[in-house]
Amino acid sequence: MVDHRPAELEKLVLRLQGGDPSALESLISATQDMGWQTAYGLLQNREETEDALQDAYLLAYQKIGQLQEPRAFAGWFKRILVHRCLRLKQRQSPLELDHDPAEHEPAPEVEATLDLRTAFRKLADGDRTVLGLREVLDLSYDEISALLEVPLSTVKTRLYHARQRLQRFLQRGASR
Amino acid sequence: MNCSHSEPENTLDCAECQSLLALSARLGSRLAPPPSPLGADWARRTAEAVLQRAQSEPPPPDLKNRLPGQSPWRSVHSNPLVHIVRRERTRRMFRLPGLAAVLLLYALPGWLFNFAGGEEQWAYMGVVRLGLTVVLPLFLLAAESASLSSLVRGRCLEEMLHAGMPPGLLTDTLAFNGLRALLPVLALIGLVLAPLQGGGSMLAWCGSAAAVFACVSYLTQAALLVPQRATRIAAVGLPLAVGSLAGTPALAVGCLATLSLCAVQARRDSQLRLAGIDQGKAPAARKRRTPWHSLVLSRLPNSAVLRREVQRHPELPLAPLGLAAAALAAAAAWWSPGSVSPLLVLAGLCAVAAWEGQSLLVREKTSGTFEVLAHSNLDRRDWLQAAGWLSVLRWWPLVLVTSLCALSGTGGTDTWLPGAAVGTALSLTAALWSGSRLGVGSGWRCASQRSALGQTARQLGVSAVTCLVVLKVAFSLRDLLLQWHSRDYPVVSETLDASLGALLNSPELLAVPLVALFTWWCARRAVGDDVTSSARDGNLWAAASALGFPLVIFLDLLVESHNSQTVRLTALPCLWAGLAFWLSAPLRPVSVYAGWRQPRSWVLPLLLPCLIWLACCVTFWTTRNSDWLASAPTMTDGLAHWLPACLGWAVLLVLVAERAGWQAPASPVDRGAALRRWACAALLLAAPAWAQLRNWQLVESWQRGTPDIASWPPASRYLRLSDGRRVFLQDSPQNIKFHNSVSPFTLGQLQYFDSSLDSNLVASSLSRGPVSASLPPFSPEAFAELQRLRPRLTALAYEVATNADVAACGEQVINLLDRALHCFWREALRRGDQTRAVAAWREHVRFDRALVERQQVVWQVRATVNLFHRWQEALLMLRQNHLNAQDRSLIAHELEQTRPDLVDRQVVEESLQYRLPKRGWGGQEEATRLTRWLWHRLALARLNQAAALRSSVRAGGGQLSLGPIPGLEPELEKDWRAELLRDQQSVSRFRLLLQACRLVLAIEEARDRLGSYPTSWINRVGSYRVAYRKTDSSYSLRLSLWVPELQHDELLYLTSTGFRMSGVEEWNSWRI
Repeated sequence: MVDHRPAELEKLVLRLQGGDPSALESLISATQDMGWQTAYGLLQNREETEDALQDAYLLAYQKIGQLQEPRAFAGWFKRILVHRCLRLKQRQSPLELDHDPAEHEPAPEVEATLDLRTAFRKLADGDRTVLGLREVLDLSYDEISALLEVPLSTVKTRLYHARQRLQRFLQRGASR
Repeated sequence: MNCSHSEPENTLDCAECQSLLALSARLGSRLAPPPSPLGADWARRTAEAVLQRAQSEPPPPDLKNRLPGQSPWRSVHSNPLVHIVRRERTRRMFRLPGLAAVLLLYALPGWLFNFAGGEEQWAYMGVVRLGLTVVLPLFLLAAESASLSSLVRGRCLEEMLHAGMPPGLLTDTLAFNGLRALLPVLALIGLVLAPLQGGGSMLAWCGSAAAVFACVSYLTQAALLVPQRATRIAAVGLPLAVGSLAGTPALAVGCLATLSLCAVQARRDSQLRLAGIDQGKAPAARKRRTPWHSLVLSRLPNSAVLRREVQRHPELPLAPLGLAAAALAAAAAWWSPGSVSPLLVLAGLCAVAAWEGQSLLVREKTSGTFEVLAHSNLDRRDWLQAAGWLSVLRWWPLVLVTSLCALSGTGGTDTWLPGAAVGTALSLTAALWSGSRLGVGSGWRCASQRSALGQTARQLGVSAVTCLVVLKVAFSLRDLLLQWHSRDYPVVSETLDASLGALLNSPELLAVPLVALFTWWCARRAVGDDVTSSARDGNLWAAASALGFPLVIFLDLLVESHNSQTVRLTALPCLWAGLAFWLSAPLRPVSVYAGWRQPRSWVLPLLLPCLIWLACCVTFWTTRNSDWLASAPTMTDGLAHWLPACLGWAVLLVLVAERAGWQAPASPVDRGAALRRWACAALLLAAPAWAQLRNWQLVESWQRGTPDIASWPPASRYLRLSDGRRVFLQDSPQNIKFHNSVSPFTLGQLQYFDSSLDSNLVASSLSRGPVSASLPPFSPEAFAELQRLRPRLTALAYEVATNADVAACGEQVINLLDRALHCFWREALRRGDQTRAVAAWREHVRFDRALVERQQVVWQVRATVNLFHRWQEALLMLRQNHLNAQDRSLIAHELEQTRPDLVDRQVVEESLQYRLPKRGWGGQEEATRLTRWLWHRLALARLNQAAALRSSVRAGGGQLSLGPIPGLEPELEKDWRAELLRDQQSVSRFRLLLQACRLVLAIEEARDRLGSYPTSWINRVGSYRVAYRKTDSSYSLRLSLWVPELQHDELLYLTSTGFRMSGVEEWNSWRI
């Protein structure tokens, strides 16, 4: 994995905008770690994360001509990726959420982690998204508001309810 | 799970929220993504898959095809920041339904109250104009600033910078996209106001407002990014921005230019700052949310309660929309005559402030935190201060808008606008402050909201009652004083008796002693049995409040009763200074004597009212730009009396309440403190109330819509010759002064003319209804005839007088007639705005009549219109009551036909356009009545002229003009003359004789003048019959006119008060 500086990233984007598809591999290599962190924080699933990343790279490649500031590729791609993750969640059926992802996931270290992960997975898509963006990816309220294109108060409200539901799921799990 | 905190700032004290946050923190640590397992091989495989899919799969259709733009405008228009700020702005700004609701809010009063013209519409449109062009844009600016602040706090700008957006593009994007969002709003406002203000002016306003918005947006960015520089820039720019919105075009252009320079500097500072952030030189720390009102907080007193309340309700000074609606209603009520009284607005504000003040305390008590605060050295002074400032902060838009309305001239053209604005602001602020004090005082001892509300209501009621009581006592005292003053003149004793009788018969007078006793009882309760032995300053202050106000009015009226400018101009400052001197006695924390022994203790209470008064005078003269001698009476009559009062009392009350109040320890039953509170409130409420009532008193009684003139006491009404108004003798201070300066005998002379006018009115109405003859108004010629009559009246008096007493009476006639002429002139000065023209006219009439004739008739007519204000005001009222252009043209045409040599059509049109304040009057019915009245006055003035001319001719030559009466038989004339000479020592008899003679002459003159009308009633008068009767107290003279065609006698009998119709009655009479 090569640590690409923004200037090098800008050159890669300019090459892509100039019609050089060979720069795509370097671009993916430069941004895949950042994309992994973002997508996995939202999806908590390796397969879905890879699918979302691939969709996002495809869309970015198709729309790379619209990017006016090549230096802003990181933020632009992150936004595309988040939207791809959301659309992927919307397409999934609820049953798919209950499958056991143990073989694709890192092994849980303690029981509490397992409970927390289970409770987090039981959350609705909207709650999981806003909670993941806030707590896992550590985005600010304004960033979440801009990313999801919802008002700031809605972000706060969703976050508050998501935390409450998460706590409720955890309490139910503990009572069993 | 009943916690409802969604803001992270509010969760610090909530255990539930703390557990949720801890859980979230666990979530962040446990669900953190593992290190990426994707390697270089994944990147290669993904790139191949993406390239393969890109050839086969089209882009998703839900994404917009946005082509990259290269122009600067397109860069500003469509960059990623636009989409971020658009969502934020949409959330904060008005959407179209909200904006439509705002416009509807402003349009609703117009529909509900049916403003069809005149002052109401003027006031309403002034408020609408202010609201739409100032208040609403300021609200939008505040929303835009809040949106920008949110972006800065969320570090969105930094992220954009790190993403590669240039600083210049960032600032321009914020400014111009904000402007683009505001443009539809501005266009809508311009569209709404275009029919009223004109398309060109509203287009200019839209352009200037857009420029102001852009500039303020740059200033806001600078204020958020470089607060050190931006504060200085905004201190210059924002007032100019407001001025450009509401000022004159020249001022607006200058302000916009200055503001643009400020914006350029602010843009440069913002870009430099952003560039520094981008280069990592000046990283912006994520700051905790700073309330925008921190600037206000730093200026407020250091009160913990106040700061906590302001921080708890950060929207406190905002909400201009709702307050604009309240201001709209208040201002419309304030300047809508005949509707809600300003007293109600003041009382409402006082009540609202009292409710808020007592809620502030009771809320703490119910929540159990009051004791904690009480142990932290928070005393009543802090609560009072906090409640007062909170009420002012909450209602300052109302005060501001109402004062701006006063400054914009919606109060009328005869009001001194700066003084009215300052007085309005002071009155409203004083009402708010006193109300908050009342509320805190009532909430201090009450544990529940209900009991506190009851106590507040009781105190407000007592305050209002006290205010009314004091006013009533003062006005009754004034009446008694003036009546006593008039009893030096025995001739008007009948009038005074009648008026006093009417006053005694009125039920209001019965209430006066009761309420006066109540006031005295309240004062006694406040002071105690012995004023001098009372060592409590609060009691002394209560006594000063309860007893000082009638004393002030008494002294004021004492000054007014002496109609001298010198007395006024010199005595008023002394009066107010003395009042302040007296009121400031409780300022001393020790005894009064010890307080006054302190060094320089007299400076503030003595000099402050004087300085305020002088400032008012200078400002008045500066703003009026007129001769102070000519303007001083106008000022001293109205505004200068109560403006220094409000100013001085407000300052003194604050000082007194802060220093003298609340020093005694709280006791369970502290009636003295309660009395002090409502005494303060009564005083504060009474000052504007008194001013308003004084203003109301200046309105003539017939203007208040008293329709039944015949029901008035005959001796208390008087048809004034100068302008034909029917006024009460004790109607207003001005009229009283008028009658004091005019002697009773001159009064009789004037009543003679008025009686003759009345007789002709009756005659005309008997014959053919309203006189439609085109006759001129009372002209300068007729007025000059009065002067020309003077030597002949002298000769007449000497002819009648055979002894010294009657000669003295004749001399008195002449002197008093001269005084009457002077009084006319003074009244014209008081009433007319073009005082110089009137003065010049008077000088011309007095010294050089020929010059007057050589002058163009334009200024003569103007002077006439000013001198005889009635004509002008009648035209004004006609115009205010839906008199359209056609009616105006008709009136002007009539005047032109009447006296083509005297009347200038342009001047008449000018007089028709002349604007005067309308006070408590309106309605189509009144317009019809006044239209008829106008034609009557035209006809009667013509007859009056004829009578005066004829009488002057026949009274000439030093002969008693009884002989020329046509048809008078010689023996009867001899008897009559002998009879008159026998009773010649009776002044009333002489007056009766004079009236009879002139009545006959007037009828003869009318016959001559109306001879061209063959159907005229007066040409068919068969005979006259003059009869007199001596009663116990006076003489009565009757003139009977017999008309054969009417088959009966219509008898007009003349008394000293006028004509009345009666049936045929046999008296000892002569047949003429």
